[in-house]
Amino acid sequence: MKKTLFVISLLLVSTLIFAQQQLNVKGKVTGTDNLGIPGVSIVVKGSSSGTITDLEGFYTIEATSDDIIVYSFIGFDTQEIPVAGRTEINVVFEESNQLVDEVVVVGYGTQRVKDLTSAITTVKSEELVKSPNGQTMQALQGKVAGMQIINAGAPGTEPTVRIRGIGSYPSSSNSQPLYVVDGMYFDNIDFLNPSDIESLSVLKDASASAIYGVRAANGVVLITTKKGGVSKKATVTYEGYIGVQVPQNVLQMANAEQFVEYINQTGSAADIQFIENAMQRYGRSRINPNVPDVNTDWYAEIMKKTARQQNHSISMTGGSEATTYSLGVSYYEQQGLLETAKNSYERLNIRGNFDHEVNNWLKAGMNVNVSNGTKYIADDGAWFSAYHAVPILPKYDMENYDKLMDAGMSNASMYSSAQLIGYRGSQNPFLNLDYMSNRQNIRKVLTGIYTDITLIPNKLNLKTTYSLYIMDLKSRNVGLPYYVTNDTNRELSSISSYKSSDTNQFLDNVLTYNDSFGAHNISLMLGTSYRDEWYDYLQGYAQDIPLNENSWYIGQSQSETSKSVEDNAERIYGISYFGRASYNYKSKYLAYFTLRREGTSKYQEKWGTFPAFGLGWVVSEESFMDGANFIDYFKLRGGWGRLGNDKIARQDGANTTNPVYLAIDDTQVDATTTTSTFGYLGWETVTGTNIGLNATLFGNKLDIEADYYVRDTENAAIPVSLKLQSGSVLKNVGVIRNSGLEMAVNWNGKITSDLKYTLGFNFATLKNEVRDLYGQEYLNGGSAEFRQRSQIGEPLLSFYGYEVAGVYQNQGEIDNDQVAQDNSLVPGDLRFVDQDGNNIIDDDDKVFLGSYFPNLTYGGVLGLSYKNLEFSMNIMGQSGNKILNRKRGEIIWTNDTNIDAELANNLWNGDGTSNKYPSASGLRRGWNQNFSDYLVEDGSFFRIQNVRLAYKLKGSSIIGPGMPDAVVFVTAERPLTMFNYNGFNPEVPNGIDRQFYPIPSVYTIGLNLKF
Amino acid sequence: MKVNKIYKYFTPFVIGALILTLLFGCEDKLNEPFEDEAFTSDVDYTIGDNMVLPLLGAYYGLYTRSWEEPLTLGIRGDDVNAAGDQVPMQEQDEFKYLASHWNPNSVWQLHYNDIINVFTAMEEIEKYRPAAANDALADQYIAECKVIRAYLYLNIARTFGGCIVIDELSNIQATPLSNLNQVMQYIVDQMDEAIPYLPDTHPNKRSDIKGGMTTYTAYAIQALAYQEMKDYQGVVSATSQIINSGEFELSDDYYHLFKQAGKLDDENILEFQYSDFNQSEGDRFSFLYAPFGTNWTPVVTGASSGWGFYEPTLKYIKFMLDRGETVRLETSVVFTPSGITEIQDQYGSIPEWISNVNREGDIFNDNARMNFASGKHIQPSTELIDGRTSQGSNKNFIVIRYAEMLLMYAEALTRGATTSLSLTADDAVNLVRERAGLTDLSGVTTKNVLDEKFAELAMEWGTRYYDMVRTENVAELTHEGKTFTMDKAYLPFPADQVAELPQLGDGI
Repeated sequence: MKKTLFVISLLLVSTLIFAQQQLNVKGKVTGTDNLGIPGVSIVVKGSSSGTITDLEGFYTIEATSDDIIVYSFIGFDTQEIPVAGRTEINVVFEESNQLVDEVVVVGYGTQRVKDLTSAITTVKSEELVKSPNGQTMQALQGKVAGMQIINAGAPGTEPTVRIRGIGSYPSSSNSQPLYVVDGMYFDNIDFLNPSDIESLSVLKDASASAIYGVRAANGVVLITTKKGGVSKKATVTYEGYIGVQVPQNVLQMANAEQFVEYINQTGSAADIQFIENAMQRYGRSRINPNVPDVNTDWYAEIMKKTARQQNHSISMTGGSEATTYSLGVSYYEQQGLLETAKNSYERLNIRGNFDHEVNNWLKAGMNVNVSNGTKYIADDGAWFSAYHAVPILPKYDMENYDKLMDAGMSNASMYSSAQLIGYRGSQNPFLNLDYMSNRQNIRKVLTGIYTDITLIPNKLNLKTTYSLYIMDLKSRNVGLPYYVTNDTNRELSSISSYKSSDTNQFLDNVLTYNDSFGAHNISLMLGTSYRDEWYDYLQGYAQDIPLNENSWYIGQSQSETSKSVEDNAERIYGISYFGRASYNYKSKYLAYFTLRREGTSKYQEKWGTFPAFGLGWVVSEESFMDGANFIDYFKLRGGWGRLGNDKIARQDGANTTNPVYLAIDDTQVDATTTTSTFGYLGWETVTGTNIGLNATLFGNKLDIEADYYVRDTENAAIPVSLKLQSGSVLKNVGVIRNSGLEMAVNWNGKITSDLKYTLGFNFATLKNEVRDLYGQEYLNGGSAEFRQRSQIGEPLLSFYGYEVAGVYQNQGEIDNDQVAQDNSLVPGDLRFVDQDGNNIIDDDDKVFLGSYFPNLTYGGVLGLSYKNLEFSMNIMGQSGNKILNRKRGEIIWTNDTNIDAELANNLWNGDGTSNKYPSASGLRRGWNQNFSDYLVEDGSFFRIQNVRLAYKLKGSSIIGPGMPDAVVFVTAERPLTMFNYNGFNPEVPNGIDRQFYPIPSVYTIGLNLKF
Repeated sequence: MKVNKIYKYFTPFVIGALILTLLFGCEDKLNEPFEDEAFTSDVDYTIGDNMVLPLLGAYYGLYTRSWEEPLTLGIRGDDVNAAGDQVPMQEQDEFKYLASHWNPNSVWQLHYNDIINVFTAMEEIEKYRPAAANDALADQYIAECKVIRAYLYLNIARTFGGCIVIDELSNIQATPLSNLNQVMQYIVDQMDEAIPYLPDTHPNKRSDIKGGMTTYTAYAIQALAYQEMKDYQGVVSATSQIINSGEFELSDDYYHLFKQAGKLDDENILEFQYSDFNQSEGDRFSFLYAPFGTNWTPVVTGASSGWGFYEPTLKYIKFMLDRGETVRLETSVVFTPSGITEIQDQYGSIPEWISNVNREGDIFNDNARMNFASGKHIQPSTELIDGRTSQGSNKNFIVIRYAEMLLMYAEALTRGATTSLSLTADDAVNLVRERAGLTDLSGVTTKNVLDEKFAELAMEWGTRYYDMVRTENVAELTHEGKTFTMDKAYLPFPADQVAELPQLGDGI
């Protein structure tokens, strides 16, 4: 309507306009270095006419003598210069120190950092490529207050990312944030090469992320890939490194001698016999004749000393006045640490985008991002077996092999099996490693095309984006035949092959209006989004396929009856209407409001409404602050928002009638079973409140950002144990609260003009708490043997069991203790705290033993630059979390295995020897196998995350004109981690350490070139 | 110029508006049906023939037992040792109970899974009833479900000394605990309800579900419940029905009763059926017999051995040697070389036929964790269908045998119950003895019968243990270094169940 008025007024008063004297203003915009700046936006204030500078920084614009010309460019202070009759105006831009002038990407648009009222952290692309990681999010570890990143060691595996704790029960929905890459939603971004990313914003609080409705309950990570710039000459960049991964903090297991001593202490005749068997089979150690002549360090056997990692990327960006482009190709390779034929990840990415201004009202563009990854996944079970395999078993048993060969046994294997010396299991981790092949081909294509129509120049535009994402995953899992013993073999090869595809289409329309009325600045956005997400899966299985890899197809199977096929699919549609209004008065008083109306086909209840608002007050703009010169900028802000989590299954309680078969008189007969636990679910609702401040002090040297938040998840879907039966069913029955304080402080200083430094520190506290369980006092989780309980007032899934008071040291202590008497305990057994003092240890004595959520996470950075030399060091850490050492706990199921050296060396073995660990025989008594804090350990750690040294070379000044600029650098990623936990690594996503791929240190050398 | 301007300024609006309107037609997509889903409401209950499907589903639940269930039920008697490396089972064998032990919790949950499965099966059968247009058949199916359910309750109540008898699935939380006698009375009543509707034949003569429930299965379960209640007249009346029917007969080959040949034998009243479907590969319906097996050098290469968790006691072997038993000892106990040495050391000279090689030629080797294995549960490798290698593949699991009914009948008579049959206690016991190659007894006492049960039913489902608990025979259960007291008769309710259902917390 305004547009219509404008057009009419144009028509009516055109004569008047032409009556004024038009000047042709020319000039050049330069930086302080006197070089022209291309792409500077130049508009006549209050009119629609505008232009940009050319490649050399020159411009021409029509204006009247009374006009004011506004020059603006990102990263520089905007300048307003009255024409005052001149025809040539040259402008010098000074580099802005004020970060607050930056613009950040927010949902469906951008906002000036100055105007933000919510907690958004932006990470620069340079920061992302500083550490050598194939996974973008891994590079953020310790850098964003309140974002916990838990590394995954296996090649190509995404880390676990949690923003501000977890709001959902872990099994019902993961707590990964929503990733929005160029407008498309993703659950993970393993396909992106960090060097292809231009900007990454983390929307931490509800008021910021509510614009994304039902997907954004766990926070949002907004990513834009690299784009070209208007009127920029082409730049070609190479970035690359090559490095090695080195296992660190390798867990020490009991060696053969320690193991034999431990077994002798257990007094178990059978286990002593197995040692005897080993000595007969493999001989006696010459050093200690009571120990077999075998001392296998299984971790050393299965793990490579070093593994390669490399990344190379080439990109080209540039643009003319109307067209901008950016292209790139990158390659990433990571070898795994496991000693097996194939354990690796490779990814090749091709990317391109271009934008074109068709005319003065239409802009269009497209982008393509193709990723082709291949992952060879080594069986994780090897880590589990390596912990438990006895050290008196050699890797190979040639005696057995020769015997098998003599007998003409097909598929005879040289590997040993613990069954050869009497053990129940085969134990040898190589059987899992070498006779399994699991390959994944991961192909992802993200592409989008958009048009941007200007309805009112510089004020109103409509952007329509169609995005398409196609994922094709082929997974091939082959089991190869082998024969070691009668019970350690795989008779037939098998193949399980599946293809799954995702085809997601988004159509977004966003209408944006910006205007100013005097000191009032408003920005309005209205949009719609239509989503169609289609998942499709097809799996086949067969046995008895040929052994050469090119024949690993189901069609090659010799066994018709073993073939089976399965498929399933899911297609979810969503429609959303949303809007945002932001307002500020003189950039002093800020207000912000968003509303999203979300429709989804997933749930019975189709529609939900998600509002959010924010308020801010830039105190430093007030006149009463004029005296406080040391304060450059000071803002108080607060926000509230509500959003949903649609990652919850639409229903639970396996649906209803299932076909099964059974045997009646040796005939296969069909039957059906019906479950009665079915229930529909709805989305979880998350409500978040955030208050915070931003301050810049002492001449822009010190930046402070602080936030306090409370995030409540209502209708949280939590598994409720079925009564009497095994299993559980998900119900929307809980309220979970996360709250915490986050702070980031950054100091930029200069000692001399050549020596600059940066010091930064951030920390976040987290309190996770179950607030309500809709009538129930608690809900049990975890497993019955290692109980975790969610109880009102406690963190979700806290470990729950007995508290260990110590170890009964002598018969006197047993005699004086009613509990010990009643349970026929012996010295060396654990003494549990009798919480209720009734001399009976039972359920009433179980207490909360801690939670896997760290209550403090922190990170820091030290940066130094001297002339062309740059040094930086990042640290990070966490404290307050607990880890269940299930490796030790597994003994309750299988006790004829090895134990770690720390445990073996410190077992109770007579009065006063240990008040922490039970005796060797005690490990095998049910009493000590009760779940207690003997198995729950402190997960705190401190780590030097990254150390990087870089040297900049200006090619043109060293070698001559036309030569590229270069940066050479070396990095050490995770060179040092300090912790007390008895495991490889304290980074255990769900707090239960059973079998994890360890996280290596990475040392790289790299080179960046810019032409 | 004007037209141009209008054109120029309005075009974007027109295009923009067009794009926006495209979208509003999409809302009906939200009501699209979900892909790949079948609901119970989609089941076609008008196909009356399908009424058998939920019934077979109830059988499926009954047959799909997890390995730890028969072990947990069987290890506490003086006939069996918990061997292997399972701490909770060893501790239970020594009558050291912890509510945190994992296996009783599993027995509890898996039995209740199948009890609840029976409830839903019964509901489904009722939904088919109108279309099936055969009320008698629907009634029979419901009755079969009740028998399945009663057997499951019998196990739980005998193990834990009581349990929750579900009246309605929605009311579990408010259902009080029933003690052992109450559960047994419930089973007796349920069987009375079911019997009129069940096929009046031997299970192996059923043409629809061969080996399924019949009146005699119900009588057998009822007799077991009466026995737990020490209602010996009840035992006689229920077992008399079975004896008098003439449907059942002791197998004349005790050894092969527990092998392939014994599948659906005339002696079997209830057995869990497993099968390889006579195929060398592909689908099979199986029970995991591995825990019963042990190290061996099988005749059939590749036949997998077992874990060695279930060991006949030396006490039992000595008892059998004292009695001069042959076929029942040979069938019940698998000897290893060390085991034979152990008996020689502890017993003295032993019959020559005792060997670590079975009739079929499988050689049993030493196992550091046990000296003997349970022959009733180990299938000779030669009986495997070619191509199958799993321990005991294709072998059925016998649950209730006619021999047990005869001995229960005899015991009840020795305790003063009366019978209308001509079969005396002596006759019943001697039927069992003759088959075992033993001489007749006359004037059998209760002790004679219980000894006979020990010899006949050892290693089978804890029968020996229940007998000793019922007769409060602390002395017998206190054996080989394990001390039993009557307060150890029942396992404590699993801690996990108490946490879910407070009524269990108060105990029985």
